[in-house]
Amino acid sequence: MEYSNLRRQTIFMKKNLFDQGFLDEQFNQLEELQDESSPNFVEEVVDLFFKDSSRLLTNIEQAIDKYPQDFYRLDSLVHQFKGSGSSIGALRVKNECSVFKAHCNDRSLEGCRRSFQKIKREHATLKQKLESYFQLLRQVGPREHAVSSRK
Amino acid sequence: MGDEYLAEPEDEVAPSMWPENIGDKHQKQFKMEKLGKGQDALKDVRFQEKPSSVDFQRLMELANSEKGVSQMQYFVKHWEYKRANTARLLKEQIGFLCQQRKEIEQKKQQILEEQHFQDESYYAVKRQVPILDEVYKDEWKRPSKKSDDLCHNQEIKIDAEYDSISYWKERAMQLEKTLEASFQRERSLEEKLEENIKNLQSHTPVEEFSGMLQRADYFLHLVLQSAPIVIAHQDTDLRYRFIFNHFPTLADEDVIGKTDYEILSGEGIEEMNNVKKEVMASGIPTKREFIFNTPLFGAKTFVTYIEPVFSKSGETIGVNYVAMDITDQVKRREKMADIRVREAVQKAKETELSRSLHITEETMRAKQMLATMSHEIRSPLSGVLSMAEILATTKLDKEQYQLLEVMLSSGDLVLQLINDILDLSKVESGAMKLESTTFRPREVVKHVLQTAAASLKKELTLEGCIGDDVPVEVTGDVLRIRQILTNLISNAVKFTHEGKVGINLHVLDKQPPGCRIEGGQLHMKAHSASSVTAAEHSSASPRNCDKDTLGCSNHEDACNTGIPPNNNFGEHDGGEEAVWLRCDVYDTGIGIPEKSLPLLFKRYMQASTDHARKYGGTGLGLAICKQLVELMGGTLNVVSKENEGSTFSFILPCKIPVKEDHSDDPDVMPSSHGDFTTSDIEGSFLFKPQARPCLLSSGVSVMNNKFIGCNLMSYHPPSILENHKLFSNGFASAEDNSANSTSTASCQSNGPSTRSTDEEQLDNAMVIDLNRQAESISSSQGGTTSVSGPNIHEEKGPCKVLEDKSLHKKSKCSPSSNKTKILLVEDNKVNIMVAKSMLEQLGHGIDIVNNGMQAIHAVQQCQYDIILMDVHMPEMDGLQATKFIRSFENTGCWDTSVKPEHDQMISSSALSSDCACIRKQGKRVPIIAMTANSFAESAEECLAAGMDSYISKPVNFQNIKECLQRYLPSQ
Repeated sequence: MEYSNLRRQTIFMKKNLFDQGFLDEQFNQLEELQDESSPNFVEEVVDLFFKDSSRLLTNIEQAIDKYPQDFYRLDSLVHQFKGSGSSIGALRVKNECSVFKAHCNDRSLEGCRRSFQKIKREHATLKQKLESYFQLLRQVGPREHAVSSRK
Repeated sequence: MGDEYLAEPEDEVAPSMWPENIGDKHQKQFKMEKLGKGQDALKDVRFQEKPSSVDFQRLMELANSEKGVSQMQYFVKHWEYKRANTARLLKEQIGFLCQQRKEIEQKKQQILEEQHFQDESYYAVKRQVPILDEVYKDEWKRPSKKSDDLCHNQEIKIDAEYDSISYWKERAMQLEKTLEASFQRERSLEEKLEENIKNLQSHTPVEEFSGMLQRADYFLHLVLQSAPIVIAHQDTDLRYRFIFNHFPTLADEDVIGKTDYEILSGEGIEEMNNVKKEVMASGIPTKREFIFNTPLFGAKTFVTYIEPVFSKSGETIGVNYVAMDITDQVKRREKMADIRVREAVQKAKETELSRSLHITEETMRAKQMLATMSHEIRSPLSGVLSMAEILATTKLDKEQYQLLEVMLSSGDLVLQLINDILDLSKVESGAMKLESTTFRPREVVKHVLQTAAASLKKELTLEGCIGDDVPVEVTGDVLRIRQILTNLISNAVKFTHEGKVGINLHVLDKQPPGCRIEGGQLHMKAHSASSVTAAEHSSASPRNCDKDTLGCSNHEDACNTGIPPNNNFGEHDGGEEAVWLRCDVYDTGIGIPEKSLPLLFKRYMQASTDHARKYGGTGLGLAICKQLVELMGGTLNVVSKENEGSTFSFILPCKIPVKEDHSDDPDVMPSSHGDFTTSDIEGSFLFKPQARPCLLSSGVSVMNNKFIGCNLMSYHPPSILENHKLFSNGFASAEDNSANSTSTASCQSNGPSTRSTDEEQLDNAMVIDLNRQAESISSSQGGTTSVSGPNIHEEKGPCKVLEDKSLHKKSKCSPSSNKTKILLVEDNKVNIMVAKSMLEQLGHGIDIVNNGMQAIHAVQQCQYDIILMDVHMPEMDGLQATKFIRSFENTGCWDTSVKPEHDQMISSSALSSDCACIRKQGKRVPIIAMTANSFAESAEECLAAGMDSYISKPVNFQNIKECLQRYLPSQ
């Protein structure tokens, strides 16, 4: 009983993440990659993403505050961030990155700043949400998860 | 005094002498002035030019006409008026002269009286004289002053002393003289008056009339002098009675009394005469243009006013006409009309052009749309299909399996359709690029047949026959040729229920005229050849070829059909020899009705709707084949007889590669380097049907079938069917299964070259028993291709060697090198993790490097089947790296900036042990860009850098699988 409840909870949570636009199809693809040989693949990837992205965010922050602004470098940093974000299916982060890139293109520092704040916010929200999701998932257990991801 | 006096009446009479209808009244003054001087000039003009000719008799007749009479009446009236006027003037003059005379007589009387008185006074009262004298003097002077200036000048000079006797005598004498002179003058005046009166009486109306006429004539000449017109009168027989022609080409006597016909001949005369007759008949004047073309004055246009002339009684007695030469005006007018017409045409053309341009744009957009949509549909569809395939690997019961089977086959069909549409739009838009590679036509034919045999569900014999003269290797786009062959064969199989389907490949006459490739000449020939309509039934293609070398103008037409110029063959050295290969794909199927032949190669067209319903298919296949063949510079024809079969033939120009060149095709065996003869490979294959259980009924055998296909296409590890573990772990574990499968597996892993060994062995067997093959496959645990034949053991020999080699390679490359080798170039750790996991799940081994520089080093050390390249990377981006790799492939040496450190070592080791390393020079490894923004600009950049395609990030199963399927060598 407890078990199926947890499972339902997981599914609901994931659905919420999708409905609210935090995640996209790519996340499902990641889950499909998960099997017995790499039972925690999704979590590993996501961990990697957050590790990598916090470094990138720092870099971006520095680049924004640097004077004169090197929009080209900013763009390439955000591009990297966007790339890894889209790899795990972080839809909102990815979209905000696109906005940031557009601001870069317009050489609008103000826009970049605003966008960056949003990115950071989205990033933090996603991190928090995904962490709780994975926590839940761990409780459900790898076996069940593997089956559900196949469906 | 007399001269001046005469001038006065002349001035008054002259204007009234002109008939009023000649000049406007208000212009009278002007004309009158001219008269005095002009009279002589007019005479000159007349005598000089004699522009008019007249029949005077006719003039009398004319004068009798209504107009003539009124004219005459007018003249008479006028003359009468003038006479009266003259008479009045003369009377006035007479009156005046009489008065003068009276005065003179009076004066004479006075003078005589005075004389008398003076004589008296001379003797009597002398002293009273001064007073009288003064009075007299005044009286004497007065009339002279009044009458004449001449008299006034007369100064009486008297030398004698005043008031003496001599003085008076002198004076009297002088006065006497003056009186005498006065008398004389009076007499002369009288004489003149008399003369005038006499003159006046001698002026008869006739004289006056003729004089007037003459003047009118002069005047007319003056006016008409420079008018480029012809005025003429003709009688009822249309004989000229009068003509005025400013530029006479004929003398009077040549015209008067003659008809137009007698004078002129040629175009327009008849017409003019008809109109004249019409005018005479109807009595209504008319104005027309006549175009003449006569020997006399050439081509001229006249505008002619023709009016009828009526007699008093109202009968028509002839016509007057006035004609004016308007040739120049007509020319100008015509020119204007012409220009206007041309303008209109131009405008119409422009509108047409813009409309067609618009339509073309629309069409292009529609096509683009279709392509985009197809692409959009393909991505999710392939997702569905791949998932379904994965699903097939899970444990399913029989019913589920069958359902899944239907699902897969339907999905495959849709996917095929979409691929066809994409292919077609690619060819049509000119985006299709041909890639020149060296290949062995025998292999290709065999593979195509094998593939077809593998999926054969009917009892058909598949055969292939390749002429001895077909070169072992030729250069061309093998993928496209295979596509064409596969398409034709699958069509043939589809429409054939019993009998056989086969391929004949042979060389057309080694050097048909004009078929040798010399620089760009081939394009011309190739295209002109392609312009032969595919529906043409002519089976003798060399004839077409000859024909077309003569009519190279067709080249343009061919180009206009949207086939981009085929540059592939022109790029090569002129030294390479070309052959025209002719390939016939024949069957003994239902055939094609003759009326459907022309539609056969049209898009979405099938022989009939019935066929479409019965056999399915999109109707795109043949269209694609035709386009591809034409793109390669060949032609595709079909000959067919209903219920007997069809033969699709295409001819292609292919070049024979120079022998010294290292072959760049994986088909080439290491052992066959240098010298092969055609006898090395068999020239015919036969795949015979055998009684087999219905394959459809058993899911397993279907899968086997499928598996053979997969195996041959070599992009998917076949073992998934048997063992799920293999799927995830890759091929390596399959090696353990059996010796047989090990060797095959390793052969497989080294690419199609090894398989060609297999197949040569197969050829020796001549007949492949499909059924047995299938059995053996299902019995072999590894599920790899095995061949049951007499030579099965021999096969091991070469494969063993290859195994060693692959081991050698292994030591240098990643451990999973005995599979398709993929190089992933990506700097983003997350992306790497995802992509790697996906590729591994798909059963591929990958090497990972983090930037372009590392990618180059990796390529220098190992042979990859495909490179997935991120675009944005630190140190060296993907574009740059691709450029370096491509440049190496083309030139065989690395750019100095990226030269491998141990160049020599590698090349020597490659020579001795790894032939793949030698081959890689010149072989084009597919490089796929992974781009986050797959917008057109970025894509263009990628393609420009030498990449083959791109997939958009994030990498997912669909796009990566699609890409691998497309670019991994399938032979």
